[in-house]
Amino acid sequence: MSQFLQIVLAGISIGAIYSLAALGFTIVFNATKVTNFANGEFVMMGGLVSASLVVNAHWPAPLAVLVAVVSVAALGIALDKFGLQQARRKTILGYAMITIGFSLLYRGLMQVVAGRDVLFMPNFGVIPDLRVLDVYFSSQSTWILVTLVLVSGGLSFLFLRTRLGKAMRAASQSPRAAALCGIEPARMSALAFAMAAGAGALAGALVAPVGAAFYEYGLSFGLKGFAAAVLGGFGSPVGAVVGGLLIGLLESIAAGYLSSAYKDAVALAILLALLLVWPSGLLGRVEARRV
Amino acid sequence: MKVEQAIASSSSSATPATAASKRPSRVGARYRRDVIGVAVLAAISIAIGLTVTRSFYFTMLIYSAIYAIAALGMSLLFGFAGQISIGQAAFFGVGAYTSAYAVMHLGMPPVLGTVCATALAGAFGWLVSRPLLRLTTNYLAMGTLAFGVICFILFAQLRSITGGLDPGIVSLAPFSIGPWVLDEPRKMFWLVALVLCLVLLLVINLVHSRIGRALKALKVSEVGAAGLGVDVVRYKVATFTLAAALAGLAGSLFAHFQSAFNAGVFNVGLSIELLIMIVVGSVTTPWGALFGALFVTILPSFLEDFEHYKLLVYGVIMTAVMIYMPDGFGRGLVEALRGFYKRRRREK
Repeated sequence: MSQFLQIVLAGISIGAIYSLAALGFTIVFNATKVTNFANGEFVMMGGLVSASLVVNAHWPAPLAVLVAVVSVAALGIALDKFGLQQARRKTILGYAMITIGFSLLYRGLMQVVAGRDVLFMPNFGVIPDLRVLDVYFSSQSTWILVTLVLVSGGLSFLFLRTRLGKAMRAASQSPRAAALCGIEPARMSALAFAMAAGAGALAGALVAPVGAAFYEYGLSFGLKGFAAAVLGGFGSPVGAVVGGLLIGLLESIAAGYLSSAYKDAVALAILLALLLVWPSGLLGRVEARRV
Repeated sequence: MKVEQAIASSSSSATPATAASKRPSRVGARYRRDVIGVAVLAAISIAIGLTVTRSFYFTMLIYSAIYAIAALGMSLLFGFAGQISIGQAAFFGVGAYTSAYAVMHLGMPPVLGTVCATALAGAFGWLVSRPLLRLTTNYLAMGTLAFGVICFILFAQLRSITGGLDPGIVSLAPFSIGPWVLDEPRKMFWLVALVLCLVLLLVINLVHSRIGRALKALKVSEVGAAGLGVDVVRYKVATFTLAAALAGLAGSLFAHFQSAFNAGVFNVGLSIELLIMIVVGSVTTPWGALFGALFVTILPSFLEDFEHYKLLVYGVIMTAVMIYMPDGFGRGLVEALRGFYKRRRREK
């Protein structure tokens, strides 16, 4: 029983990372209707930048994480400003191809800047390890869960209660009408990318001590974050969080009871099955049009 | 015939009035131009095969041609039918492993192994295309990407067939046709060039036929194409199957030429490189696939320490081309030149 609970806990804490990645997909999609294929790279870059600052440059962890989040957010804005806003042909697939190009660019950039080594970041510490009823709460997984609660709470407050959030939602519903009301859609989409990149980078920094940081890890975070967003219902922020936790849970159970070699395949098979059979997900409308 | 013309005029710039008159139609002229192009390519290949001596050049050209065969399939699928796939490496891998298995374990001659590889990759493509092609645009991209990663994981884990990541397939025999063993790059070059020319001829015939026009029409609007009597699902599935089969054929040739390889070859990177070949070349003509494959294969040998900057360079190229020339770099270049000449003529 305690082994099962331990597996569940591990699943939830890795699932929280997928939730943050899925939130990135959701924010960008809601603001711009673009599926951001570079979203997983934000997680990778957040982890790799903070890990290399701590391990190679011996910076204190809080400063390194802050710098990582800010710089990745800036790179996210760059994707919007120098990529999507410049596109000559504004089609869904054209945008998707530009984000694929940027995901290669990010990976290449990290390879040059941070090197091709797998980096291991030390735990954040401060929060003690806990043991409740034979279940071991590591300090890092507590950090991850607390961050997920704070970020998702902050985002829902932003979108539901503040002027800025309302402006972002207005710009996504009808850029033209929003522009007539004095909202700049271009600025709103840049903001959405900054928020998605920031959330992703935070997730990456949090998972770097548990897993590791490497320039090729972005793809799996991206695919699993997308799976989580689809499972929750694409476009639904609550769904993104729930979907992420569920994907993490299923993956962890598959790794614990089936085979750890196939754990990535499990999450991806869930994604394919969802897209084909249940594209509306738990809390969403039908977005994946089937023909 | 009327439907055919309607499709042709709705999708290309050819004027239907001239198509019906006594003068040779522009559609026909394009077809003839492309067939002459294949003849020129064959002549160039023969000239290269007879004159070039350094095996390094042959190796480069062989890899280019192998990737071009797979990229031609992508060109049909993405450029003409408008269906993206970021999972082509899976079919490339199926082709390579089928060939290896057929020759090493079943004792088949390589020719038969290649036929099996092409057929099996095509069958696999057909099998997955029915569900996958229900998705559209970016969902299709994400779906095929996930499919590609799953296949990569299977290649790496099913060690009894594939050898996994280490050691992989070791010392597969070189390609041989009856008594001729193609154990040198120069000899292999003849075969690969022949296969490439045949595949190109096939693709060009398809593109200029009723099928090609139907694909162009369904790229613009699936509903519109269906309204003109195009069986959209059947055409999409057939194109996906053909693209998979061509990737399998390329994989099989790759396996024989490479002789030793592991599952790492068939990861998402290969799928993305195939996509870049199309993007760099042109999405609107099959010749773009050739140009792109040559470019992507030869680029590394020009740049010092390329492996380190590879992803960065690819990322910049892909982003810039997709932003500024969404029909592909080669196409954009041609358009730009044409515009330049027109302007000069007007100034005179």
